[in-house]
Amino acid sequence: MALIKRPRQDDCETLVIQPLVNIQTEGNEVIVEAEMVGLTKDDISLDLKGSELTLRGKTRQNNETVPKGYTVIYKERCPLEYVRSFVVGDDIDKSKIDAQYVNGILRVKLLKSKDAQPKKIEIKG
Amino acid sequence: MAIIPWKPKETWWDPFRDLETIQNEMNKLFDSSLVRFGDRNAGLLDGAWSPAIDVYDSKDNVMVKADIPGMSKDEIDVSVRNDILMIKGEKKHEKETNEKDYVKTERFYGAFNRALRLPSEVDASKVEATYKNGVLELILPKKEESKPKQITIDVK
Repeated sequence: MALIKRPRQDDCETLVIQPLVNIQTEGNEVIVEAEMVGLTKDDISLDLKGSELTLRGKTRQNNETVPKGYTVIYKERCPLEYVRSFVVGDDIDKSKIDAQYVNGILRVKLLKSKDAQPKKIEIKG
Repeated sequence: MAIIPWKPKETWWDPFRDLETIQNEMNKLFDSSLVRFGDRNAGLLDGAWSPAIDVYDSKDNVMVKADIPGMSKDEIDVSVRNDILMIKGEKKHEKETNEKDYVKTERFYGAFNRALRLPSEVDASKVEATYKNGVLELILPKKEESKPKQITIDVK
């Protein structure tokens, strides 16, 4: 099998990227899973401004990446800044947004408000 | 001039509308595949998913870090032969969901396999591996015989 050779980069610039997301609905839940690798819980911010939900996260800066006593042989993991915004619909209960960060995935759980759930309307007659 | 029958405005043929659609599609393509990887040759060009890797060297150890989000540590397979390190794994959907429940699926799934040559031979039995926040960290102690040796020269 061929070895993948990539250029050595001692000092790569910060990339600002949109995290890749999966969005799925399950009953009255909407689950957004964003790939934001190598952060800690405190590096992530989740803001709701009006109906705009913004995920942000900033990873490892160049000077922090090289462990003490080590030298760089090669480097592909550049400093990253994650930013992505979503518009949250009116049917989402904005007071019940819940987020969890596990294994590099930020999982945001949104709940549809009661009013937005389908109601069966009886027909009289 | 011939009289053109009236149609609702949306159905008029607009020669620029198609161009705009193409432009939008192209923007989307570049946004989703190239921006994410910067100048790395993955995604659009390789059609395969492979984690980004850093290799660091010190007197006694080699350290390797790899970005592998959203896996469990049992799904990652690390092996060492002489100075070749192999990191393998398969990223699976966490659970089966009906396709119709997905609004968007952008994350990559599937198998990956990366092999790389380490700066020196390492002792495969003493490799330490941790997986935290989506980052795999390996500390590979160098073999005694491949460590740099200090030779003192007596000046007479």
